[in-house]
Amino acid sequence: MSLVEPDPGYWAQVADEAVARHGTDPSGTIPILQEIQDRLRWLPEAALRRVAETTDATLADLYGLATFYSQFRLRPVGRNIVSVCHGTACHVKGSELIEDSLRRHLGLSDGADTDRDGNFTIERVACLGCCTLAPVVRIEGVTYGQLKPDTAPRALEDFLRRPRLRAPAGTPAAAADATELRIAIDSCCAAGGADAVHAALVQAQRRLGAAVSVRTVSCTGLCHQIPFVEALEPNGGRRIYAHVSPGEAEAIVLRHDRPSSILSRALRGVRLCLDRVAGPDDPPPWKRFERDPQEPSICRFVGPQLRIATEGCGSGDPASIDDYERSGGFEALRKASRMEPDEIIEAVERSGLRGRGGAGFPTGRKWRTVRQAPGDRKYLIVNGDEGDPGAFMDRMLLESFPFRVLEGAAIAALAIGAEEGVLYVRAEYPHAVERAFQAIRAMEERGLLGEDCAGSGRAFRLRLVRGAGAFVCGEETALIAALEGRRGTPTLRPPYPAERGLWGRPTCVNNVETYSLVPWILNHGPDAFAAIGTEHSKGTKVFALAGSVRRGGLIEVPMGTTIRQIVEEIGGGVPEGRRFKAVQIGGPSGGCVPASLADTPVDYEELQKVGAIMGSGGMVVLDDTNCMVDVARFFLRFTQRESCGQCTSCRIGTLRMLEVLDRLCTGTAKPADLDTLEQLAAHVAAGSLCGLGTTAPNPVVTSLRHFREEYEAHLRGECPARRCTELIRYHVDRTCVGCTLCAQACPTGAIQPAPHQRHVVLDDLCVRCDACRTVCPEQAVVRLSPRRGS
Amino acid sequence: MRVTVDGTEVQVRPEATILEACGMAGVEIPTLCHHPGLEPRPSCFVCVVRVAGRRRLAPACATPVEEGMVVDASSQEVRQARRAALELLLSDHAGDCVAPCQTVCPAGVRIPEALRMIALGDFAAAFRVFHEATGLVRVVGRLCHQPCEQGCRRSQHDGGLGIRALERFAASGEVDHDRAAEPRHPPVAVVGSGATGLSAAHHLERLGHPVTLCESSERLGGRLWSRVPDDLPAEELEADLRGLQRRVRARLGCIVRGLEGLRALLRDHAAVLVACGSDARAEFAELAKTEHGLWADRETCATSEPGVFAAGSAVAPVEQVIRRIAAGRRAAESIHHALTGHNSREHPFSVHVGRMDPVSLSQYAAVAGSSPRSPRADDATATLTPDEARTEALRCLRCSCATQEQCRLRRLAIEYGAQPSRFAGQRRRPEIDDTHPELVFEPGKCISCGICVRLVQNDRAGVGLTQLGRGFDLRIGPPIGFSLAEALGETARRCAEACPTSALSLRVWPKGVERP
Repeated sequence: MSLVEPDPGYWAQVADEAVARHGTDPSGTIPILQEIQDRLRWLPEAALRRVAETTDATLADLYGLATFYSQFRLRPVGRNIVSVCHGTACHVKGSELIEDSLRRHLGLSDGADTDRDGNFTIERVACLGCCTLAPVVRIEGVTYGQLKPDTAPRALEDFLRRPRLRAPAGTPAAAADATELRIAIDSCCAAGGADAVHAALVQAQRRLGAAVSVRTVSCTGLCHQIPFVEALEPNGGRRIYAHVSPGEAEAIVLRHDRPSSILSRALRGVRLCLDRVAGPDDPPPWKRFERDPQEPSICRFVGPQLRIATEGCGSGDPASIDDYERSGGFEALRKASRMEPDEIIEAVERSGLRGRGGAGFPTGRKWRTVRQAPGDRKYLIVNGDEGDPGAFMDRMLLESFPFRVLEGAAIAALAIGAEEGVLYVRAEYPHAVERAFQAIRAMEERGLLGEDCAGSGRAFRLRLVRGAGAFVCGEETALIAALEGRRGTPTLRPPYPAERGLWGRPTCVNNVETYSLVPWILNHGPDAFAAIGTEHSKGTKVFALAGSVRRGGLIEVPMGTTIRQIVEEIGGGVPEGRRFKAVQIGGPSGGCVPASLADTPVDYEELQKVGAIMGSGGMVVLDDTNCMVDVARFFLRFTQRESCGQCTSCRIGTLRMLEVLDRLCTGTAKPADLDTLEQLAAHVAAGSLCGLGTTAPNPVVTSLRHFREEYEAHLRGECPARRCTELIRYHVDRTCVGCTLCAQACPTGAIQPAPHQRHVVLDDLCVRCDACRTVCPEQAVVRLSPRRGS
Repeated sequence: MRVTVDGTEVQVRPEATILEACGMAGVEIPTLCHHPGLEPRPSCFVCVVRVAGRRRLAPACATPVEEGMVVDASSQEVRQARRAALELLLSDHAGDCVAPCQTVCPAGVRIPEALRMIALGDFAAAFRVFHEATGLVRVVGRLCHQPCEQGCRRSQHDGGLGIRALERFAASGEVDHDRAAEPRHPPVAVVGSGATGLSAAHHLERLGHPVTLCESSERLGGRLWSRVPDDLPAEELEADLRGLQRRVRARLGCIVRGLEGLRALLRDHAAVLVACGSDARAEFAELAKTEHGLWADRETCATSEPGVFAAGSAVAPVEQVIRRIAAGRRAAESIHHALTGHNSREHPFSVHVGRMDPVSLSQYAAVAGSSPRSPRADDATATLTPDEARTEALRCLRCSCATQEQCRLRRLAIEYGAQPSRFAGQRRRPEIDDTHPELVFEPGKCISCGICVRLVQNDRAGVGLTQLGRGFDLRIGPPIGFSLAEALGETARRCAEACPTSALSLRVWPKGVERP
């Protein structure tokens, strides 16, 4: 509900209530602002003034925060927020065209972001973490994926019409011998329609009184198959259904229904007969989507993987602490509660575990530093501020395996001697926030967190803090600044947080994935972990595989697996007719590994040698239709927008680099610009405080190193991938059959309908939205570059 | 702790920063965002040094020393990194160091300073500023073709300032008589007393050289007399000449013939400047020539004869009076440099804002008030009244940087040879906030170092300044809806004094609303 009339009295009241809940000291400031915005949808001045009057924060502090974190708004917004994802996967699949199309549909001029009726406000977001469904937009919690420029506006219409599909509460009890229908409904599956399928399955089961049970389970990683239903038959048989639609739910329920009574059995027979009568020629619907679990494409996807962080995927209910415990959960924590802290640290050291946040610092060594640091009060932070566009590992881990992450964190807390901890999750992941919050509650109820952590006699209290929209807060010192209620500006290291962190105390900061590997290490022994992987990179790594691959998804592979194996075996290669060109690893801090170096193994040092980094695990596959200059520009635009602005070279230097890339992509660059770009890259890398700045030039540096010829082509006004809109024009070739579909799709009248004749694109009117090329059934619409000339 | 800086080993306290260690080693490190007494919060990166064994450059102001640390604070790499940081800062610096009126003036008259003096009512000081640059205030006030008025930024808004009329006004009052400078350098002879020669004599004398001014006719002034009386009343020219004659020895009717004559002068003068106009080519035929006149080096003004220099129409015809004056000044400075080794030429370094967008322009114009250009400024014979003059001077948009000479950014840019245009690109908008009684705030010149933010925070004097936004759009200012005065409170003056540029500066102009 949005308040149309200004009501300062009410605003102040909301502020008072938020202050009452979060307290007056600095750590409460950001949560207070978040709560005010959750309720009012923006931050009115009256509310901020009230907060300044009643807390330690000054108005200067509040405005500093409200303008730093992108989540906060100082202007009222429309009734529904349309978040257009501009993550890497979405970008390479045309998110700019989607946004243009939506803006055109809503009649938004430059600078405006709310339509005239106040129905929709368009917001750009860095990444929604639904990369395998790219391009996506999220409208008030409902995610729409795999959009196309011509049809994207339908998402807005659909949203307004949309009935709220909700599964009836409570899972119906089913007989022990009934088939179990499993479906994952985590946020990206839900966006792909799995929540609707889930609701339809439950409804069908209720209506039919069918003897099947419907269960929600953790992410399977098979993102390319969603909505995805797995049937586990009492006799141990498995059937899987991919790309299920809600209309097909009933058929699946019926098929697996094994009624016990004679009457129900007879009824079922009649029903099946009736179905046949109704459509004798239609094959039963499940045929279309049934998959054999032994099918090669699935085997090849699953085969090379090894699940440690995502162990037990697709089986248990991620929200159920019982399911987790039944599958051996918390054994490691209970074991740790009986161990000496040094024993735990030794085990982690011996396992060779290195930080999964990207830099790969040895985890055991970090824990030891914190343990040995003087002072009796120490903190632990779980860094779930996964901001890399094109990465969603941490989100999946928190949504599907929250207990494992928390178990690992609790073990770490026992090892380092921290009694308090913070789980910091980005606000763009509402589902993960909710799951993690509930998981903390459940563990507290069982005594696994709290005053006596798992019977160890030691306390570990963990609280959840939502991020407020700043990529740089993934950097540990910036994260600490945010927790202390300050702008997320990094500080100079040393001192490292392990020595002086949160509130000046020794603090252990590790990434979500790092913690999630710890229980396995204690359960199976450090040597088992160290046996996996390469000499210096042990264990497994979770990747979000997306972009131009047939089988995208959340994968976990042993270290040492080559990029080629990941792309070609697990991912099934690039789609038909495309050529595998490169893999972008490590997001905005990483680089592009060209296809020629695809035999590089996943290994911290090996990846660094080719100019990329392990990063947090985003892996976006690029094909010959992706422009390397454009990809470099995409990342630079990202870091430039996310720069906190403290260091000169990052604040100004990244913009200067972006300007050069803009000139390249618009055909206005001069040869000297490439030198300037290289000089700037070197300067930005050398002269910034934190990782964001020092690694910001990486995407540019690596693509210049491996794809210099593409940069040079842009100097000549040519985009070899036909991607940069200023350097291409659309052309209808001779194969046009005159069907007029392109003309109908064209939003600007640049193509006039001419039935049975070859169509023509009027270049002056063309906005390069790509709609004509997408709809053309004959592939007669082509993109030419350079734009000028023949 | 022992630390080695550029090969010098020093003992420092364990908590010291590299900056302190460098200070003890006598190695000067440039800083901008560093302020004594505040916790270091490195942002500018001009203090970077190379610490042996580390991958990145380290900001000296914030990096603690370690035992046995080896610091390289002066290598080419370090200097280049500092230069690049300065160039990036300059690329986002929306403020002129030197105002466009002064930049376009060939003679380099410090026009903004003179206007400010008139605005403050100190007309004698204004006269001194004008006089210092040319020595011929009345002549310039009548004859200058006023490129400054076209260069004046206000000419893009509602008419440039009547600068020539103000110069004429400055000369009209009771002014200081020219006082001779202490002669402390070798004597110089100037041949010819037209605009070039007079200006050269003025500047040489000002720089401490006893000057002999040789004029072949019976009166000084040369070609300037051709403008009398149509454009220049005789008494005005005579007044300027009288002033100069008190300071230099004029030899009237003195004809210097050929190379021999020059050599004769060189016997009791360390240098001779030929400034006798287009006659020089024929008169001193033994010297190297071009098709326009005598040959003289562009930079040093030296001719082919040692000790002999040439300038103005003697080298190539120069029409405008102000250009001839400029040529004389340039020659004087060259001779001074040749004789003493001292470079008196003002450094031309400046960031140039260029054409200002209309929004910024009207903001600056609003501060300067809305009076139109005085119609009497266009009447070359009229003399403004003091009130008219102050009103006209107050129209100045204050483009010129108030703290030009103290600005650390500019000083370092000059020292490191930084080019403001090397990384040109999108830039912040020039803005001015004139609401504070004591300070002027120009966010366009801010380098976001946050010294002011921290000073106010420590004092808890006002509402506080805040950093708004992030990344390139990061700005420092009062919280939305508050004035600068409310934000800064009692800390205002200290902020202005600590500001490394002139984003926050103490007011040097009368406040816009105080009209005479």
